[in-house]
Amino acid sequence: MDVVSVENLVKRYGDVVALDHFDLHIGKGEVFGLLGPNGSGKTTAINCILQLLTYDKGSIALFGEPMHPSRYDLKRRIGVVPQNVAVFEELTVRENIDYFCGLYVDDRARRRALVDEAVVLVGLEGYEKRRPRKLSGGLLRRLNIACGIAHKPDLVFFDEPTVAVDPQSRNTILEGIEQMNRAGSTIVYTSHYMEEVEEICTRIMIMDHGRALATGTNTELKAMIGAGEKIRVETPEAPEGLLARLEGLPHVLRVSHRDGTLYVTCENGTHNVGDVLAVLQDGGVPFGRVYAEPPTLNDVFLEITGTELRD
Amino acid sequence: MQVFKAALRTVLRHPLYLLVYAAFLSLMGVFMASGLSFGGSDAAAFVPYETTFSIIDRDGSDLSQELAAYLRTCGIEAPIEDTRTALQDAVAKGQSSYVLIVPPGFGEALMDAARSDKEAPALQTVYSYYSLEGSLMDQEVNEYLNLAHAYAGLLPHAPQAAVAQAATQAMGTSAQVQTVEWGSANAGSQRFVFYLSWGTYTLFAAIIVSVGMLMGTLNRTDLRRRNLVSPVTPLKYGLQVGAASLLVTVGVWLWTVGVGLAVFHESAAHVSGTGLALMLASSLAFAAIPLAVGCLLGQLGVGEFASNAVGNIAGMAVSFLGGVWVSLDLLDPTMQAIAHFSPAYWYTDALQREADLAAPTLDALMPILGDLGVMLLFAAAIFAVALVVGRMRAQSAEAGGNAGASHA
Repeated sequence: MDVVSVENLVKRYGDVVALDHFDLHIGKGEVFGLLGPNGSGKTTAINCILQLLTYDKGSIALFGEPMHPSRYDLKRRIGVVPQNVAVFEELTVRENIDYFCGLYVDDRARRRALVDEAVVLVGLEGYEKRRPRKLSGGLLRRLNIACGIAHKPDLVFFDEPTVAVDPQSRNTILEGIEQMNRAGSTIVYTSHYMEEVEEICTRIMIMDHGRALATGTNTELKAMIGAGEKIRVETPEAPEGLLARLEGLPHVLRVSHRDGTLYVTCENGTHNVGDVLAVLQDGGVPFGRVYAEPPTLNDVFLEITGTELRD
Repeated sequence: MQVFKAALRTVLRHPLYLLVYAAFLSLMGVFMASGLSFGGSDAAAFVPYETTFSIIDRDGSDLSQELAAYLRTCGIEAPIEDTRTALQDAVAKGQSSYVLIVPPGFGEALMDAARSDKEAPALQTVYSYYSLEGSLMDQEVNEYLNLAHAYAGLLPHAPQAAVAQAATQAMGTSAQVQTVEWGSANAGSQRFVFYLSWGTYTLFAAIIVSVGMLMGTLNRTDLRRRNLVSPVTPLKYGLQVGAASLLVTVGVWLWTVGVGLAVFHESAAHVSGTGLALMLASSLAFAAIPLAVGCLLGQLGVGEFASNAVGNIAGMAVSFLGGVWVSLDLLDPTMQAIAHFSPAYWYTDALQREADLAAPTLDALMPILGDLGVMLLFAAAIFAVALVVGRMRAQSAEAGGNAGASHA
C-alpha cells in the first residue's frame, strides 16, 4: 500500500498550469525526494496533498484513504515542515514546540516527553527558553522542523528545510531526518539542493513545469542518461586539433575547453581517464590536476530538460 | 486548549500594551473625573456681587434723587462727605469703587437738552482701579440717564419727577434669566458616570489592540497554514480563539470598571442598585464593540502597529462622539447628528439614564434597553463583517484556504 498516492493531479493558477497531470506514489518507509528548480511545482504538489490548495483535477490518497480537508484522522498522522519558518514570536522555543505538538497530542505527560525528544533530535538543547527572535537562522530552521515533527508522525513533508542554513545546522537537520526515517516515518523531501537529495533520499522524482520528468533511485536516474564519467583536466591552453582528437576517442561524448580547464564527458559505465591523459601527453600538452567524477543529478536534469537544475 | 493558551500568551507577552492602554488610560480617567466640577447643590445659589458706590448729589433735583434711589438697589452705598479730601480717599482707600458727583442744575439741564436737542450735561465720576466694579456701575448710571433723556423727549410736558419715575420703572424691567442645570438630577453620581464614559477610550484602545494583536498573530498566513494541516477542526480552533479574545475583553472590562468602583465608590453609591448593575452591563455591552473591531482587524490580517493605530484613533474618535471630551450640547447640530452613528453616544446616553434611574419601571427601563440594543447591534454588525472577511480569507489560496478542495 502506498503511503502517498497522487493520480493525474492538475492545478492551474489562471492560465499557468502549476501541476500538469502529476502522478506520485510513495511507499512506506521511503525517503522520497522531490527535486526540481524553483517554480517547478514541488510546493504546489505538497500543498495540494495537504489540502491547503484546491486543485482542478485528480485524486489524492494517503495511507490508502482518500484525502480531503476534513480527514482529521489522516491529518493526525502527518507532519509538515513548511518552507518558511512558521512559529510564534511571542512563545519560547519549548512553548512553540509544545503548541504544535499539542495540536496532535492531547496527553500532557506524553507531550512533554515528545517535546524533549524533538528538542534533542534537532539539537536545540539549551535554547528551550529563548524566543525565536533570539535564535540564529539555522537554529530557527531547526525549531521550524521540531514544531513539525514533535508528534512523531508516520508521514512527514519537508519543504526545502535547509534553505539558507549554516553547514552545521544542515548536517543536524539531515541527520535528524534520517533518524526519523529509521524510526519508521515516511519522508517526503523537497529541495533544489541535489547533493542533499542524493545523500538522504531512497527514491527521487525530478520535476519541472509541474510534471514528473523521471522517478527512480539515485543510481537508476543516473543510469537513465547516456552521460557517465566527467573528466576535468587543468590545462592552460588547448592546441589546435586537441579537441578533435579527444572527441575521436571511443566512449567520449563531448569535449570543451574554457577558463583553463578541459572538460570531457564520457559514456556511462566507462573509464577513460587513461585514454584522455595519453592524448595530452602525446600532443605535448602540459596539464595540472586531473579530476574524474561520476554523473550528478544535475547532469540527469540537464540531459532531460536541456537546462541546468539551478537555473 | 493549546490554541487558547497560545492566544493568551501572545497578549500577555506584550505587557506594555496592557499597561499603557488599560492601566494608564484608566488612571487618566480617574484624574480627569477627579478634577472636573459637576455642579451640585450650590450650583443654583448664585449671588451677584454688590458694588460699593458713593453719590454726591449737589443738584438735589427729582432726577438726581431718583437716580440715587435706583443705584441703591444695584449696590451698597458708602456715604462720604462732599469734601475734596474725602472724595480722594473714598476710592484711593477702597471705601468705594465708584463715586458719582451730580453737579447743581443737572436735572433741569438734562430735561432741557432732551427737549431742545442740545447736548446732554456730563456727570463727574471716579472709578476704582482695583476692579471693573466702578465701570459696571457707570454703565448702569449711563443707561438710566439715557432712558431719562429719552423719556424727557417723548413726554415733552411731563415734570422732571414723572420722567425720573418712568426711567426707574423702565430700568426695573429686564429679561427673565433662569439658571438651567445640565445633565443629571443625580449630581453626586456624575464623577462615576464621567469615569465610565471616559472608559469608551480605555475599552476601545485596550481591547482593539489586544484582540487585534491576538487574532492577527493567529491569522498570520504561515501559522494559519500550519494550523490548517493539523487535526484541529476549524470550529474547535475558532472557539478557542474566540474564548481567548473574550477573556481578554472581560479582563480589560473588569479592570476598567474595577478601578472606577474602587476610586469613585462614593459617587457610585448615589446610583440605585439596579442602575449600577445596568451601568456595568452597559459597559460590558459596549466592550463587545471593540472586541468585534479587534476580530475584524485580525481577520483582515492587520499587524501589531496597525492595530495600535486603529485602537488609538478609534478610541479617541468614539469617545469624542460620545461627548467625553466636549459635551455634545456644545457641538453644532451636524456633529450631534453624526454622533448618533457612534456607539459611544448610545453608551453615554445609557449611563446617564442608569445613573438617574430611581426605580426600575418599564418606562424608565425601555430607553436603557434600547441603548443596550443599539450597542449590541453595532457589535453584531461588525462581527458579521469580520466573519465574512474571515471566510473569504480562509478560502483564498494565498491564506492557505482549503474550503474549495473538498469540491475538487
